[in-house]
Amino acid sequence: MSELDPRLEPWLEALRREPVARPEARARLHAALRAEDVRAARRILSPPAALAAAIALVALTSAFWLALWRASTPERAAAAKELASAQFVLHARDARSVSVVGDFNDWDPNATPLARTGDGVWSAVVRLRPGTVRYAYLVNGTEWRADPQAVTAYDDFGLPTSVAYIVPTEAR
Amino acid sequence: MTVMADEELIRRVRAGETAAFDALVDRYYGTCLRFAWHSLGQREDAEDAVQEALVRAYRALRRGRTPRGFRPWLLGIVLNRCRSHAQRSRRGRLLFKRWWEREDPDTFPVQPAHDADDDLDPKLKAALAALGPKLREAFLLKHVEQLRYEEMAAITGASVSALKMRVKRASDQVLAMLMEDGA
Repeated sequence: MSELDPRLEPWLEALRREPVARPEARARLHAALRAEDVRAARRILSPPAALAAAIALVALTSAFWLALWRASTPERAAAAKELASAQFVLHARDARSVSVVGDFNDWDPNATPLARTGDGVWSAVVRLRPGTVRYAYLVNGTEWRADPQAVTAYDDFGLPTSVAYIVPTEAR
Repeated sequence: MTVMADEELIRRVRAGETAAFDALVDRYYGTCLRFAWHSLGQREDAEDAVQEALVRAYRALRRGRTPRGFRPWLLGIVLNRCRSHAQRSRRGRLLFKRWWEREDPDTFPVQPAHDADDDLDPKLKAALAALGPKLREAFLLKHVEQLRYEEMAAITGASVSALKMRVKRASDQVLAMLMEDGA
């Protein structure tokens, strides 16, 4: 199955040529590595870092015990991996179209359209892997809306996105 | 002049010798940039992804991490950064579309010029760009970075059989595009 068609070889040779590094990019990298040295030294010394480490440790320990509990029976372990149904609902009376975009569909506005299911109510049921999911609604293809029913977090672009936790089927 | 093995350089990084990591960067920066550039299609994005990956790798080594094979391990970190960048840029494009439809397009900043030193055949670039992200990843790791399927499985999280299928499908797709118009 992995036999390579010889007609691809000359093209692959072109792809295998290593690009030349730009001095400014290497300089930025060098600065970032030295900044990492400074941060590492601070992490060792500063009390806030110790507090953050303690909080992280508690969180990790909790996550470990939670994972252990979930995996404690084959049924629970299987349920944790199974896809669960999640219903996305938005009230948008004047909308012509609504879709949901999120981590689960690579923020593709066309992947998950919602259907009008009532008077101004739009909804879609999506099968998702249990765990945290970030999403937002796109109204009329352009208007970005966070879910008013969910926790809001601000993303890299300064826009509100919604955060929800998809519960494994077994735990419902 | 003797060339120090990766394992020795890693040992020195763990002992706090910063110059040892610079030597690893000299050795693998080009590999990382090649993979990231072909994955993301933009030099600037690729440089950002590579920088993030190398800083993470440095942090991990300083904290005592000992990867079994440095090159595939490092490529795995680059791959993850590329996935994050690709997701961010998909969202960026979506936001750009929103902005474009609301505002006056003439006032929007000019898009970055095409990379001047990117001398890849446009047909090859188009064939790569047409692949889905998973197929492109598998194709590049196998045929460009020349990793073994077991190494690819370890860094992508996919099974060996799934990866073989992806490489085959990607190769067929790329070849079909390259051979169009009797090339």
